[in-house]
Order: sequence, then C-alpha cells, then structure tokens
Amino acid sequence: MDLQTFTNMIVWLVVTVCCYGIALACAKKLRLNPLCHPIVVTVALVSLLLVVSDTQVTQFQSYTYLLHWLLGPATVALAVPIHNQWDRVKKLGVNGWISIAFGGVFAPVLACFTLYIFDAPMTLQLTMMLKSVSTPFAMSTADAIGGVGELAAVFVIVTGIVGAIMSDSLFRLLKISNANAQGLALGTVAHAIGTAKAIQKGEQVAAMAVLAMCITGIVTVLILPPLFSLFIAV
Amino acid sequence: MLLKKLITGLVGASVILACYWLGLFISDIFHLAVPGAVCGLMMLLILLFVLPSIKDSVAFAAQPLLSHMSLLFIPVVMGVGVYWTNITDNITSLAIAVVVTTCLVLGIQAKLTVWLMADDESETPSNIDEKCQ
Repeated sequence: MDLQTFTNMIVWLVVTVCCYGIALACAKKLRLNPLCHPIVVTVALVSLLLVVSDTQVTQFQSYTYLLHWLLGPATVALAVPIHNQWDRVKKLGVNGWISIAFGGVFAPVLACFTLYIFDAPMTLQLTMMLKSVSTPFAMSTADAIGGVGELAAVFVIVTGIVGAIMSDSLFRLLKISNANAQGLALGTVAHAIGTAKAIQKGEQVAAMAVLAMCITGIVTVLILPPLFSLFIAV
Repeated sequence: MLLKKLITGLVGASVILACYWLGLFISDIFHLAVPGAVCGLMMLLILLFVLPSIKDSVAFAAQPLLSHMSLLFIPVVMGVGVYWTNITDNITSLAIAVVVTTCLVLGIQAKLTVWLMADDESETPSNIDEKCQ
C-alpha cells in the first residue's frame, strides 16, 4: 500500500466518522425523529463530500473497508443482547411466539408477493425477503439467498423508518394501547429502527420490541438460507 | 483501573473475534447455507451460556460495536448507487411492497397480539404511567 492510499484511507475514515457524529447530534436534537436516522443523514453528508471531492463510490468503499469489515464482529456481538433477553424468551409463551411468527412470515411474504405481481426482477423479490430483519442479518444473508446486500440494507432501513413513522397513527387508528402488542409488532416488522421508536413508548414496549427483533432476525437468518438452497437444489 | 478496563476489553474483543473467525471457518468447511457471521453469533451465544464468567468482558467489548452499528453500514449503503436503475425502474412496486405491507402487517400483528394476549392486559397500566411522566 502506498502512502497516497494510506492517507486517503485515514482521511475518509475520519470524514465518515465525523459525518456520523454530526448525524448523531442531529438525531438527538430532533428528538429521534425516525426520518433523520443517523444512517440517512450520514449517507447524505458523505455523498455530498464525494461529489465535491470528485471521488468514486467504489474508491470510497475500498478506503473505508475497515468499517465494512467490523460489521462481521458486530453481528457476532449481537449474541450479547440476545443472551440478555433469554429470560424473557422463556417467559414469552405460545401467544407471543404466534404473534412474532405471524409478523415475521407475513411482512416479507406479502412484500415479495407484491413484487411478484408487478413482475419485478427476481433479485429484488429475493432481497425483499429480508426487509424486516435488522441490517447486519439482512446483509450477511442476502448473498446466501441470491439477493443483493446493498439493496437489502436500503429495503431494511426504509422499512424500519416507515414502520416507526406510521406506528403512532396506526396504533391510534386501531385503538391499540397494549404495550405487548405495540412492542411485538414494532420489533418484528420494523427491527432496530422500530425498536428505537418503541423505547420512546416505555420500558415494556421496548423490552418486547427488542425481544421480537432478536427472534425475528435469528429465526429468519437460520431458516431462509437452507430453505433457498433446498429450493435451488430441487 | 484503566489497565483493568483495557485487559477486559481485549479479552472480550478476542472472544468475539475468535467466534467470528471460527464461524467463518465452520460455515466454509461444512458448506453451510447460514452465513459465517451468524454461525459466529450462535457460537458466542452458546459460549455465554457455557461460560457465564466471560459475559462481562464480552459485553464491554461489544458495547461500542452495538451502539454504533449504523456507522458500519455506511460503506455498503453508499454502494446502492450501483443499483439505482433497479430501484427507479421498479419504484411503484417497491414503494407498495415496503410502505403498504409494512403498515398492514404492523397493524394486523398488533391487533392479533391484543386478541391473543387478552389476559395480559395487566401490563398496560405501567405503560400508561410512563407515558404520563
């Protein structure tokens, strides 16, 4: 690696981290409005800087490879919150599992079915299967089922933002005040961004959302790839 | 004190990395359909049950990774530009798939849960208390 590349790496890593810092400050200022999710703001700022500095996106990706690599260990680290939730998992009961299974199956299947009806490309349909699991799970699984990691990340984030924004009016419209119902639905359908929204709604909603998010993520990721390899083999 | 924190962090990070690499290795060797990182996660989860004493150091090392995971997605999300035509060509179906089905399932699942957990209404008052604060 020459000095030029090394300098570029350091510069773009620092730039990305700074943009992320600004994005976090924005999110805090705007009281966690889901539309100004740190990823959305950071991507906007970095894109602007790439245009200004006339840098290719592929170059940017190779300079910031360290961040991308860290996603692997970060996915492994998700074992910690799952372990923390274990007592709740045991106490969840059949009804809770039915609720999570319903959302976990119907949200992606309905989305895929929509794309199928509109005759969208197969890659998009497959990638859409991952829309309601959190981003690290979606990205690591996308390749395994013939989807695209980049698209998976975007679908997941947009799904989360839509879920978080719409949840208040939806729950009001349907007169749902039960903390368990709100939490399980948000965590299952809208993963981490929905969970962030759930945290604002109170402790019980948040706990249920984290639980639902972990279960949906793990189960989807463990079931989908073997299912698809079976599908392809036949 | 600082040294102790450093050692705790290093131990935790080593455990996470070891699980990650072992996960990649196992997924590769046995041609598992489950991604290596997820294999690593399952291994760390099992390890946490078998050896609860490592929980503190693992949790300490995992904390920054977990709370700033959004930062780690940036390089990949930036790459979506390559697929931009895929998105714009199918924008109607994608919008319906994401927006409509998300709202639909969110609402129906919540309704279903209320119906299933009719006995658990006792949980609700604590939530209302928190909202009033």
